Amino acid sequence: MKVAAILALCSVAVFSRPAGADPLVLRGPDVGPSFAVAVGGPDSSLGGWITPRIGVALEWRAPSAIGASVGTRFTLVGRPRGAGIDLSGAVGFRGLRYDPGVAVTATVALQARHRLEGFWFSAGLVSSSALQFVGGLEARLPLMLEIALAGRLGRVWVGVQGGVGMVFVPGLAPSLALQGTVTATIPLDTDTQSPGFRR
Amino acid sequence: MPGRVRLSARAASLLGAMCLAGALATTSCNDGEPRGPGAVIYAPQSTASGTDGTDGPLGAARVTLHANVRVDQALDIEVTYPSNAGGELVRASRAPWPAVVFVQGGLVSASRYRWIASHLATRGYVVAVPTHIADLAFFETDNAVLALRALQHAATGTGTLAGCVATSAAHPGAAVMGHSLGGVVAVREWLAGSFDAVALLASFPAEGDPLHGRAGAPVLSLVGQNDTRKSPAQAYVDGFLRFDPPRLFARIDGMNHYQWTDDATAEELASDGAQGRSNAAVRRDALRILDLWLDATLKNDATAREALAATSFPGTTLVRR
Repeated sequence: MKVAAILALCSVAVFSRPAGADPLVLRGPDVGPSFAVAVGGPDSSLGGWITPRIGVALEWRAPSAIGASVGTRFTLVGRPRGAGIDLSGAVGFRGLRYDPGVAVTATVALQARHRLEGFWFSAGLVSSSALQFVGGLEARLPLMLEIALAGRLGRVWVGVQGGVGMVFVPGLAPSLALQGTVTATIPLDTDTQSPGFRR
Repeated sequence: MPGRVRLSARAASLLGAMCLAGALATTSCNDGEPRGPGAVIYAPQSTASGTDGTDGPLGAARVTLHANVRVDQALDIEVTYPSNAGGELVRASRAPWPAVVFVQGGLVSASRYRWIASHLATRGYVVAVPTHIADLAFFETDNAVLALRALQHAATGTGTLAGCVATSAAHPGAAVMGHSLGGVVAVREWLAGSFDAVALLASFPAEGDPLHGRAGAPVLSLVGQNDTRKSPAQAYVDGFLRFDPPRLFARIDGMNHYQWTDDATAEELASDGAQGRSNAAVRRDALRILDLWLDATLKNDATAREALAATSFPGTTLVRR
């Protein structure tokens, strides 16, 4: 059943052809080891946390780019449950489809959040930047305000993310960036109170 | 880590790797440069003169050019070009053609300007119309210059648009044109220096734009007599007079704001002045001037330049100051 649900979510992510690429799934609720999918526009992502501090993600900006990232996260203020401030970061690469090229990416997010038993809310600043070094030399430096909330439905955390901000590219005028996403996070460990995830 | 978690993580990693491999395989097989003939809009008409605001003798065909801009963002650009009956770019000794990049008006879809793109293509221009987020060009003001770069890049390739425009600032040049809000953005792009000339359709420059920085570069402003979207209408003239010469302003008799677009909605028309004449009539009067101005500016056509300087045009009032 669980495998079927994961495959169904993967199918949605792969075939929805959402339009850069941002490892969105690495900014969802901290529920321990988990698989997550974020489907939206222009960016979508799937991946999860394989250890308490290491996450991996594939991300799309369909049809123009696809990438992969590895990330980590820390609680700067507060505790993992309740109110707090989290810092997360990820690095990766991105393949560009049109005018083929490759870029390295770095994502940093500072999020104020509140986590209850079955509810999670966050608001913060996110920058998912990219430096193209193959097929041209260009940098993209976005800065976005992002709000996200999620609720637990059974074992699955379902939520939405929305972001708005500006993209800065040297030599070009700033442009608008918008992001809207539906997310689903499935804890892989049925016992989230297990060692390493004790709250 | 429990064994079950480790197993799931491995499964997720494997699944991710498969997705990545599939996507990269797709990526390696595709790029944004169109291949093969475009969709034929007009077949060539050898008897057409292309004068007096009418279509030219060339055919017109359309393709969509996809480009990566701002590193990983996709930009779709509708390109209408001079074609033969089979939808292939007319090259022979006549290409590269001058380029015109058109910036859509606010909340007006780019497709509503196809009539003007098709007309210009029959007269030997390659017209690129980039899309903008939410159909609002001020959210992505540089899409016009990015569209020009993408067009020049496609011209160096081997696809449908190979050789379509000059790949540098050399002659023939490029103009940027915009309707309404698109005109405001077009002026910004022109000021940045990538375009040789700017044409405003029912528009004017933004307050504070340093227009003297492009003194000597050609400017055309066309405004409908019945255009009431900007009140007072004198704002169009005042905006035009801020440009340095060479500049040309023409008021089209009986034309309103949305007659520059196809498929105006009832809501748009309710916010506009009356249509004093048919679309066909006002557009022909407008195109008569636009065509001559483009020929004089981008094709360095001396006859067109003389006609603009000496002729009065039916259905229009000219200001050459």
